[in-house]
Amino acid sequence: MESVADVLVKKVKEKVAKLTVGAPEDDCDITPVVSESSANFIEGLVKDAKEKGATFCQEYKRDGNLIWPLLLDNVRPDMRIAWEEPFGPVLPVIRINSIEEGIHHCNASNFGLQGCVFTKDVNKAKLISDAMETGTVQINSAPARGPDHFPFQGLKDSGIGSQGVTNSINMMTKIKSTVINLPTPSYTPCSREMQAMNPLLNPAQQLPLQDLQSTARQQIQNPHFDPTASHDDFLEQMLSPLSSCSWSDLKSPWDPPKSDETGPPNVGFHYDEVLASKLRQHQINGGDGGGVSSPATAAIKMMAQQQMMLPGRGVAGMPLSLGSSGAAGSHHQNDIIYGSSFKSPNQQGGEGSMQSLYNGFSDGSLPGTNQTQHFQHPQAPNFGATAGTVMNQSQASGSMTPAQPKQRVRARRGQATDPHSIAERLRRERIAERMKALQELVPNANKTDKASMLDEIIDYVKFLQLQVKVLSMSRLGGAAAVAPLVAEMPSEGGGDCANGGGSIHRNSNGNQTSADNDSVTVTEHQVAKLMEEDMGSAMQYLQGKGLCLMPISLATAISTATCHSRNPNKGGGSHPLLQSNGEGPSSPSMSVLSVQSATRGNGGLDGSVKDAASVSKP
Amino acid sequence: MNPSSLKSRFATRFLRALTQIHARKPICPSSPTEIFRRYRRIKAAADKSMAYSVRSRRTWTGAVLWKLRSRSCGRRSVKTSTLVKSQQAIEKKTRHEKQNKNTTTTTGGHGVGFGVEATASELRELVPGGEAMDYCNLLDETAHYIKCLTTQVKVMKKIADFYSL
Repeated sequence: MESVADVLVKKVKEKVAKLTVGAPEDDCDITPVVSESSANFIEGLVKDAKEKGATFCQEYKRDGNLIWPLLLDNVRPDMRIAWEEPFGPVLPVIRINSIEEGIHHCNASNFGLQGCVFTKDVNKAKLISDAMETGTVQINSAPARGPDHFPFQGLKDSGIGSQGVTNSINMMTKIKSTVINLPTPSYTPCSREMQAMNPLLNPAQQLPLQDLQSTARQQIQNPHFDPTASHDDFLEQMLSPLSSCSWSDLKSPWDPPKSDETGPPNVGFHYDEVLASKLRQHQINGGDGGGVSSPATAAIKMMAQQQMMLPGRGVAGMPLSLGSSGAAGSHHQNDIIYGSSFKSPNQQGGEGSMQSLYNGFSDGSLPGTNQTQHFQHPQAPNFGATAGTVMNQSQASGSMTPAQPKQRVRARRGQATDPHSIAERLRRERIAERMKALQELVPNANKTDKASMLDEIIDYVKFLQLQVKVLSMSRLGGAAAVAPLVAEMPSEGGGDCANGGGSIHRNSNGNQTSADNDSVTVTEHQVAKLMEEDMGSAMQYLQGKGLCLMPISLATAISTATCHSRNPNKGGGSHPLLQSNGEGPSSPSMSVLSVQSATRGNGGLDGSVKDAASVSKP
Repeated sequence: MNPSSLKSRFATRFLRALTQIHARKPICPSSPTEIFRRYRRIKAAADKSMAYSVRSRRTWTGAVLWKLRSRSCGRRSVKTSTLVKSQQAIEKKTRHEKQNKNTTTTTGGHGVGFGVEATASELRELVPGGEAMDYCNLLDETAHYIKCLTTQVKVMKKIADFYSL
């Protein structure tokens, strides 16, 4: 492969040399990139490659946003340019020693929009392009959009959805089903016949959709089936008749609907169907793992259930074969699902399989959690798959397999198999989980709905940033410094501020009184208090008072306390900055305070600290 | 307090920076410009300490540091060399994120570009470095940013309270 690389680089270099560089008005090949930040980004990639020792086939040259075409040879995977798209005239050449290395590098990227393979060997071309994880692979061509009717899409981080005639239409289309349910089965010669015989077994009959829907609907109208019941309730409903462990009980939930339409025939199959459908139901419930419980899904379960029953009607041995499927590993597609639930009964051996089924089911289902563990993994996609297999089965036996339940189940199957929807769904899930995480971080976020969640987050971030600003202001210390900024404060200088503010904290001292600024200090006092309790209400209070970006007065309230920090006898040696501040107070108010502290007799470290502590607590 | 927690790392750095700031003796400390400058310095110190204290390299930390550096280099538009240097600093940080799907670049199409999803523009403005991220990563960054901001506020408040004693 070395020889190919050398030849290629040489040829590309010659081509690059022939490129014209300049403004688009002059019909140049290479024109400026879209923005300065883009150019900077490209430069960053190039510098990074240079640092790491790539071979520069040309000199890197840049003029504003215009970058001269650059071919980089011997690029290694530890350079950024091997992974990030420059969106500029920079072409990296990564030398590989084997096909696997190339494929590995291709698939290791998080992007996967297009890929190209250049070769004369058609087998290699096919094998390599199959292994590449990109939306499109061009063989012997540069990346391109087309052919037009091909979907244009990417994998992983590349792109959202798909472009292309059919794909765009499909992406923007969601199938919606409308079901018209008649109160009674409609009369047609076909439907009458079906009801007379095994109505759902005749493969040749093409039932009108209406009939199918009506019959299906009737089956759904199981009086015990409450569409609005929750997942667990449903399970209980299904399981409760079984707990009594008698055949007659088994029959009971299913009799009423059956008597409507089927009448005398097929009574003998009831038990099989009931059991099988109960088993199926249980599996569906378990398989869902308690994930989705809505009337629709319950309806789907019912549908699948019904379909399960259908084979049972005509094919006598059906449930029996189910029972033995686990052991026999028969050709039924449902083996994997059913087999696992039948492990216990099959081990019982000699019993009749019906009995074993029954036992197995009661063993498995009553301690409901036992069984559900089997089905943790078969979640929605598998459910879709099993529903599909059930449908296939029923299709095989030529039952009604109506379009209506197929459409209802299709939504899930479609999601499971369609890569676009998977990606989209994954993306939505990721965003949803991140929003949830954010919801926990932002206070009072559970009260807001999803739509205004974003606004809440934005407000909270703004608020936090404001807090940081406020606190930075407050740490200036020297309330004197703050005074000139305060418009409404009387212009007696910082001393007043300090004194006024300080008086809040030093009232007990009686050294200073604040005749003026009372109202303002009261505000500050309150705010300082509020600040300790709840930052939010403090801010609101301030905003209510018309002090919007208010670092000043609030900072005064805080920083008056910081006046005490000038006290050199603070803390221990671990706070040198306090010491340094205390040494040389520069403003007159500072000197006043230090004098004050001096007069207070700050001999003892702890004493003064305690004094200050007791005084300053509002 | 956990000696190596984010809180303690930030507190140490910030206090160190505060020491340096307070050590400077300004010419006239009560002038508004001086106050403003000090406020800026303290805020910059707070942001910088926060960005450095974050152990997992994040886009926003890089963006914060870059902004600070570019600001310190002068308020005018930054020269290429400085920009590249600061970019390199960010790249060092963002390199770690490559494994975590760093999408500071736009997810590109060829010919027909897909580009960066343009939602939540206000949030992008608030979170440093948010302009070039896709929505999913933006939310991630926001969560981390909020967490760090709250820590920052807590520590700074504690320091302020301590001073007030």
